[in-house]
Amino acid sequence: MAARHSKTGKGQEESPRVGKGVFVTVGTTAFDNLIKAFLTPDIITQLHGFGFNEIMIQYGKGKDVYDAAFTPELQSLVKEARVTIAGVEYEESTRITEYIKKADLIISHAGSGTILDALRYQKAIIVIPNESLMDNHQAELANEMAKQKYVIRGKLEQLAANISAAQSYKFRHFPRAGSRTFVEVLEDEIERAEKDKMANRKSSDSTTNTSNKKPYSYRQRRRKDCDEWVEGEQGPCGCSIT
Amino acid sequence: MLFIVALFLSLLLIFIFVSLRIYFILPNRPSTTPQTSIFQSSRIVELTPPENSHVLMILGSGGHTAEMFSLLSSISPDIITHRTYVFSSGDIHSAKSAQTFETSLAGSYTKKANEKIGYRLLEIPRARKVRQSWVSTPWSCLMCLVGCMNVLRGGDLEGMSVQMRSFWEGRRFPDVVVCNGPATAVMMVLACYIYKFFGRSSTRIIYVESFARVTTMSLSGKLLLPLADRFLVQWPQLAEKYPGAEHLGFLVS
Repeated sequence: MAARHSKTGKGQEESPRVGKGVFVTVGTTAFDNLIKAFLTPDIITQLHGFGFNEIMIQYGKGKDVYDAAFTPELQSLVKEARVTIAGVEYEESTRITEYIKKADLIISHAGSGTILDALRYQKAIIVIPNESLMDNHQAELANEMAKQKYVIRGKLEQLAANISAAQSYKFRHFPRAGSRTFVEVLEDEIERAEKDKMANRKSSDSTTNTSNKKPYSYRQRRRKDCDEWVEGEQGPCGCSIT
Repeated sequence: MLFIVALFLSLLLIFIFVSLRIYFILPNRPSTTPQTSIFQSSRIVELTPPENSHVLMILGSGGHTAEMFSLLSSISPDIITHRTYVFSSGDIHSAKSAQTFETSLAGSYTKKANEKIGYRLLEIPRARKVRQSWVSTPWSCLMCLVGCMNVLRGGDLEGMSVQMRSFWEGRRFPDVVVCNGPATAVMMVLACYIYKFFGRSSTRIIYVESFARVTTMSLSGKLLLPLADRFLVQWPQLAEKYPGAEHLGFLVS
């Protein structure tokens, strides 16, 4: 036991929190099979073996399943191994993000919000789509994300194997430039809307004079700002000048 | 007899006029027609990007709202000076998210004066409640449409403070509408088209399909594909399947 704790020695020095955290989330609906598969003595022992001792479960509409999972066997194991298990029904997305930030391993349904949050904070994540839901586009997302190595696509029957795989898996980093791409499109469209408006105005009133204005776009303006930017720092358009 | 013929002819004329008008206001995307046609280039006016701009964002249920703010996370309040957030009645979560987002923007203003008046947060009636009967749905959709039209023409400006009103007066109609999936978005786009039809606005529409959609389009997406000026999808599979959809990589971050 002592040897296992020394694995997490770094955490001990910095904060009173010992060990690592797991966050299990099922979303707003019920995903009882995930809770049933997760809250077993085998899985808890395995997690404890990997140095995890704080378990947070967001069980959604599955409170009865969550409560029923605490068999005497599991309870004695929890007491003996000093693992803390806490459950919540559902929380606001900001709180969910907090749980994700605190955890080191996320086991999640295939909700896109949770997946993106986990990737944003570069956490190990096992995604298990809820097969009982009608629409299967969540499963598609999970498969595609797993194919590109952003997440591990888990299976309920192989949860133990998935957890041990997550310990050494090389997760790919999710690109962070998405919003910037979108904002460029948005700004282009604003310019285009302005042009449309001016063209409409010009056709009705030909005296409008726009020749004294400098013709460059937001994008060019931002690039110009970048040219004047201090070398080595990251410029306002996101490009780093070397 | 003559009356019936006259009626028929006038209806036909109206129909032709309406379809021509709709044909002209429908978007012609760069992917389908080259941008540098003679007709287009003669209309292009060279000018600086506008000092002010008005963008309207439609917030939907949980996942859509979160994704919307992820898309917007790198906007500059100095470029997009006027921001309107629209949420369905009772969706307190979305309203709160919008306020949180605006608070996070507060630090990046260069014109401090615009800090509190740069955005408005408006509620519109729901298009369809969960488990609402299909009989009353047309009525609630109509109410939603009226709400959307009211938002677009700036019907709430009358209730604003003098300072805020003068700021918004010149930019009643949004330059760009951004939507990403909720049913309300369809009604908002329809409302936009009604104003476009009568030449009142030249609003452009950007639709962003959810990150969660890999190979199948959402219902709103299918409906808005021919109506949006820019239709962005986040997975290449969708762009291949639906011509007109653009794939520029992931847009969430």
